[in-house]
Amino acid sequence: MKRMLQFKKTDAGYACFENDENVFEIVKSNLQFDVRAFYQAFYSEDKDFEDIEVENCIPDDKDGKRVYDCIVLLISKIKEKLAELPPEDNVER
Amino acid sequence: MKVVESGYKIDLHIHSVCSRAKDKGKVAFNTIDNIGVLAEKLNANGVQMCAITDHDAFGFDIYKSLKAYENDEQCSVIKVFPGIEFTVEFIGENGPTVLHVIAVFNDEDEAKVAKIADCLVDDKGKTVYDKNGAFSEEKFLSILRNIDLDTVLIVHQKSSLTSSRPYKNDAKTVGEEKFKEFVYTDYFEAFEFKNRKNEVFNKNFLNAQDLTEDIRFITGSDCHDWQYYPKETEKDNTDFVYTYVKCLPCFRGLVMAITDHRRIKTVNSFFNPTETYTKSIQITIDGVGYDIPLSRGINVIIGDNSIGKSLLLHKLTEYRKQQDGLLNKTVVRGYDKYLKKHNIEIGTSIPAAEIFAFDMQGEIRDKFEQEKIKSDDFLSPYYPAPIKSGAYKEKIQRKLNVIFAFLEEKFALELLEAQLGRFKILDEDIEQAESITFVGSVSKNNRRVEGYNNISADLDNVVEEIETIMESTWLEQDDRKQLEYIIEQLDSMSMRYEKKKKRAERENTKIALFQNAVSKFKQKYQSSVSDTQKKLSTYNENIDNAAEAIAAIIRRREKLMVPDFRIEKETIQIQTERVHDYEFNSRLGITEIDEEYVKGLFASEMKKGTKKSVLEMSQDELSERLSYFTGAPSEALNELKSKIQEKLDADLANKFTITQAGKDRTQELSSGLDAQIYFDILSYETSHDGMYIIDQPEDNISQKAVRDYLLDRFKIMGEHRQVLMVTHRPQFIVNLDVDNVIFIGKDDDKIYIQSGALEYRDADYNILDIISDHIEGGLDTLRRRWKRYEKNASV
Repeated sequence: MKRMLQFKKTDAGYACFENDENVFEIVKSNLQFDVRAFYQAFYSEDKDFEDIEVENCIPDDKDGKRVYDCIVLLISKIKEKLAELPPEDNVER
Repeated sequence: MKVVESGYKIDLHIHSVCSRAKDKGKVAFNTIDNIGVLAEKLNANGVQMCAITDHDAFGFDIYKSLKAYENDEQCSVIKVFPGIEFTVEFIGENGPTVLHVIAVFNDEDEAKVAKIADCLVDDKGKTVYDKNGAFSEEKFLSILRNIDLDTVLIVHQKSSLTSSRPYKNDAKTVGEEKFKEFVYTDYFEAFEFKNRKNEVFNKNFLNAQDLTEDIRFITGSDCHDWQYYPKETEKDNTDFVYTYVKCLPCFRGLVMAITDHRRIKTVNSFFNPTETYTKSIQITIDGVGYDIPLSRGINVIIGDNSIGKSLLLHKLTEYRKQQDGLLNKTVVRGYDKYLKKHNIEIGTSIPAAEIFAFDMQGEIRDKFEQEKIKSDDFLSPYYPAPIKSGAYKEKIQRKLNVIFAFLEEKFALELLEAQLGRFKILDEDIEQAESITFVGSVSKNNRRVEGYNNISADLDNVVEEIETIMESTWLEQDDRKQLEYIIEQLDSMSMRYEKKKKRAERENTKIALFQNAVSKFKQKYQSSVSDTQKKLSTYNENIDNAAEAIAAIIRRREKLMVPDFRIEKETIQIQTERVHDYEFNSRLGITEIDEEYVKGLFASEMKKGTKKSVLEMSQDELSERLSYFTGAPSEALNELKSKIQEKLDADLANKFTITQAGKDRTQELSSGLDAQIYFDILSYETSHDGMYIIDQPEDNISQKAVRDYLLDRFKIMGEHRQVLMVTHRPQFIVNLDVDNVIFIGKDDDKIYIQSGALEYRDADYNILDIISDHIEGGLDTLRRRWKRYEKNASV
């Protein structure tokens, strides 16, 4: 099932909201991308990661766009990598 | 004769013509002129010790004429005692009751024996009855005092103790209370019966009433006509059975025998006639030769500490304990030095084949240590073969491996997640074209190498196991062929995985070379691009690395299946061999394996109160909950593995235990109890011949245990085989009624040896005196043993 997240501005910076819950946030002052927090928000446990769409709710925010692009790029790269890695990694290559 | 070699056939109840006052014509034939007839009959019946016991009379001349046969080598009789059958009125709850009491006297003081008859009559030669043809109890005792000889008293009990029809003049006719008084005060040394049938009834009665130690039965012919001996008279049809006693043929021996039920039998089976035994020990001390006779039964060596008792046992067995590593060279050197110093030569040695077992000082308690229990020569044959725990272990191990592999992967992923790191998002727009970004990477796959390697190694192990099975000579030919085929298949499979492993290793090598080359190229490239290009390149690499790491984690997480603790329930049978009252078991520490057992393995290593399952714990949580663990969290799983492995090994290790009626006796850590089990089995063991040698059994067992059962066990053993024992405990000598005492003494630094049965005495020494003088507590024990005999003057 497709997961829909909203990318919005927050007091500290920018964040992805899922069902109105802030699941992943980037602090504007340092623009540090916490990969672990990202993983936990989008992929950990039994989260559905096959089809994730992040809607940019602040398209006019220039700094926000760079952050948004980074998130979307990472999601798409992960999808690519997953496609390269077969689910059962025990087949001799 | 110093030791008892066999039981002696006795008859202490024969009448002569001196009984005519009561028996009239019944005894008319039994005159001094016809004593040869009696001697002939006694000889024909093989009687060795006897007494003429007339009714309230004593014929010295007849006694002397029979006694003359003691020296006749053609006659079986070797000892004749003086005696009287007293008619005594006792007062019991049934009123005055006349009993017949046989008194047998010590024959050593002939002057006193000659005067016995005088004590029975008054000045006019009339029997001093004071109760209408009987003696009152007081009169009877006063006569005994006047006779002033050591006495054995035997009362009539011709009907069995269970009989409802009392026999005239039997002890039981006096009434129940008075009869009990006789029994518990040891008034009489023995009760006399005649009919063979009554033996069984009497024994049953004694067993049922727990009176075996209190009442002793002997038989007497009560012959009134020597022509028909051992019949009472011509018309007597009683099935008479003789009694045998185990003692030296002397009055003292008779006393020893008649006061211990184990020394009285109706068959001459005191010693095992088929058992080979050592007849004597030859020792020369400072030029003096000793030929010490040994009994076929129990021989004890006594003497002061460090006099050479243990030395004697070791020397007789040619220091055999040295081969077992139980006797060290220093001790042997000390022994040899001692022998040399005192100029002692021990000329006898007992070959190994003639020794059933030799337990040196303190050795028995060591036999029951778990490591030795299986190796001990005596105990080991009783245990069933050890249980092979390999299959159970493998089953549990497989489950543990799954659980450990899960935890390992789970913790590894936790670590990878923790190491996902951070990167900085670009804070400016950079044209992508300006830079070359190195994206994508290849990494070595060590897990694949390890996986293939494990399969190959496990297959090789299975092959080894099968080859072990194939070594068995019990394996059938068809099955052997099947196994050979399986081995071929497994070998080929193993080789296939070995090849795969090698290919994976080669690929890893190539990847490493490639990574190295790319890394060098990147370094070279980075040094020739602009800072902006570097920044973009780094950013792209970060994105790419993060994507790759997350994708790898996702895929590994997908494969991570949470295991359970379930294994098929299996009962592990205890193997048991029954030995007498005991069960010798071969068992594992656990009796079944199931899910609860596997769960328990983990739970037992966690701190008290830990509720969370180990499968749900993080590495840090495991580190926190693991009992007595103070290491780094990354080491917690290894610690858990090693602890569980230890417990598993212990639980599945074979143990040998001994149970009695289901109660595990080996759990009781008393060395005394171990010794009890040991002696129980030892005493009933009859399948192996040879002497049993033991040095100080008292070291292994309490005084109570000695009293409660051990003496009995040794007595049984003494009937089966020759026993040679060193002891300091008087109970072992006196209460065991040993058959031979060997005393090693020292006088002016000169060693000497004296020996003989307990009752033995000669001009130089007296064994009972030696015991009372040289064994601590010996005198007290002797007194207790002889309490029942205190009516005698000089024992």
